[in-house]
Amino acid sequence: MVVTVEDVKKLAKLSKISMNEEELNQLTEDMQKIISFAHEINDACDGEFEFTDINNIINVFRDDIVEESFDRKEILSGVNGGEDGFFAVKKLI
Amino acid sequence: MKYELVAGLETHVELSTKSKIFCSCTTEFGGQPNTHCCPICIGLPGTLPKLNRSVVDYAIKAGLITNCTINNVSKMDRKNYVYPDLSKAYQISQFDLPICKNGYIELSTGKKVRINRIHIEEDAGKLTHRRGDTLIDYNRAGVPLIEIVTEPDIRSAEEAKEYVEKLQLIMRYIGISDCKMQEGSMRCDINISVRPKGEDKFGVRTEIKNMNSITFMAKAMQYEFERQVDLLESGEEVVQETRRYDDKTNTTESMRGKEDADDYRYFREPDLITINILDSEIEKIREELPERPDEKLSRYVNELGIPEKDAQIIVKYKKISEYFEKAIDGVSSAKTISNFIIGQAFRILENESEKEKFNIKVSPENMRELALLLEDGKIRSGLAKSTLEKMLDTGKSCKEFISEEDMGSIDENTIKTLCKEAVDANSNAVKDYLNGKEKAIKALVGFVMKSTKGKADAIVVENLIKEIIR
Ligand SMILES: [Zn+2]
Repeated sequence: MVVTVEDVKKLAKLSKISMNEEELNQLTEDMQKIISFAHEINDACDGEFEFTDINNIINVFRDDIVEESFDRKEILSGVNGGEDGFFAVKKLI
Repeated sequence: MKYELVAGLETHVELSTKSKIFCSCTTEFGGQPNTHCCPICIGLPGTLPKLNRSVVDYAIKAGLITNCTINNVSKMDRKNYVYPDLSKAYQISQFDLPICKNGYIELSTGKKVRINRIHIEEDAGKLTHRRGDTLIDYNRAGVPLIEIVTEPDIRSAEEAKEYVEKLQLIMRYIGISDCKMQEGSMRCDINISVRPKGEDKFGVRTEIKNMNSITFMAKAMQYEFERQVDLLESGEEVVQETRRYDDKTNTTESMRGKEDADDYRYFREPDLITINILDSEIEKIREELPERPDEKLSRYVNELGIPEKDAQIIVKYKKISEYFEKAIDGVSSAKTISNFIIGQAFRILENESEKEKFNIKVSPENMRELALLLEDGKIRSGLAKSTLEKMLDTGKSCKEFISEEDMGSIDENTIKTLCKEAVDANSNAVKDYLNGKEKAIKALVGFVMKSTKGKADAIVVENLIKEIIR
């Protein structure tokens, strides 16, 4: 995969970072090196990806049983008790 | 130029498991804010999710009933985005290995709307905006959802409407969701584009999010179709963006453009392990699936002889079809029961939600008892109907309203005598009839029916009277 200046521009935009031409070029080069390294590692593990986990554990489920929820006081204890039973944040949009 | 609409639907269906997807909190709707919560569903650091087995089973059911293939290997992924309805700043969803893929739903025209995938994920919390603040209730956070994604196969608002209605019906039939759009347990996002008729390439699409009514969805699609056609006709371009439908103005407006296109940085959820679904488990669930609504409809029509229109009404409501099947057991004509339900029982059910609940006072056994009296010729249909109305009012059995005397059959001689009496007592009606006024005979028949309390056969009576007059 080739990293283009456009890719880096998009990443910069998503990360809300402004960059000049020189920085863009430098970063494109750096990103290309990182991606190439990742490819090298990918090539090293040959064969199909095994979809089992450590110690071959699969399918750890819980049964559909309701247990009592936490007291609201405890739930809101990390936000100074909240506001009328709600978590409250400054309006975003 | 003629344009055609191209649409695909993403439908979120809230699963009716008892507990949430990754913790044991209740999924019950409503409740005081933040009282159905625990450290897992409010996303406190250090907590670990544990997948609810029923969520996987329900998704498999949804996949099988919509003709999907079930992936033997499936996994959960993190979808990252920052918004206060999501306390962890990521939603646990599925990216490249959903539980179900490649299914379809067949419309009444025989057209198949292909389903690309069905995956499981957690719902987010509910936000309310007050003055400068956003208030958050996490009761809904972690309620299990399936998302059903179609291919862009839909070509009209009518097709979209039928698709959603069918989906709603079959999800209710297999009992995995109540699919109440007004309560938010079923919500649709529509992807929509237009292209000149005959063109193969797709146009630029817009997305309308969170439609919570089928009527509004159809209106929004129609509006968006016309808006996009107008743009193209006037030489402008459609911008790929997310739009919101406003039901007050019946228009759509831009929410955000492609410039800020989401980049969810999906990656595997490291706190949950692989889901392996064995073929034997899939087969077991397949065997337990109930009859599909369209199969039921054709059985009612072809095997039970129910008129199609009536059969459609019964199949439309799961509770009614369950009641119907109990009541027809041992009855030789199922149509008697469907007539009772649609003719009498429906009169006391005022709206859709009452029809859905079908909470009537008459048990299927009592309705069957009445139907058998009718079939055995012990009572006539007029008496059956009025009795059923009384039963629906009181919840009592038909025996409470029909006496032995009502059920006794009347011998032919008594009927003949009564017919003679009718002719003697209504000389005017007889004259009218003889003067060519055909309808006058009805008064005479009515006289006999009244004195037999409706037990005589009106056609037999009419013929007897005609004989006497001649
Ligand atoms: Zn919880």
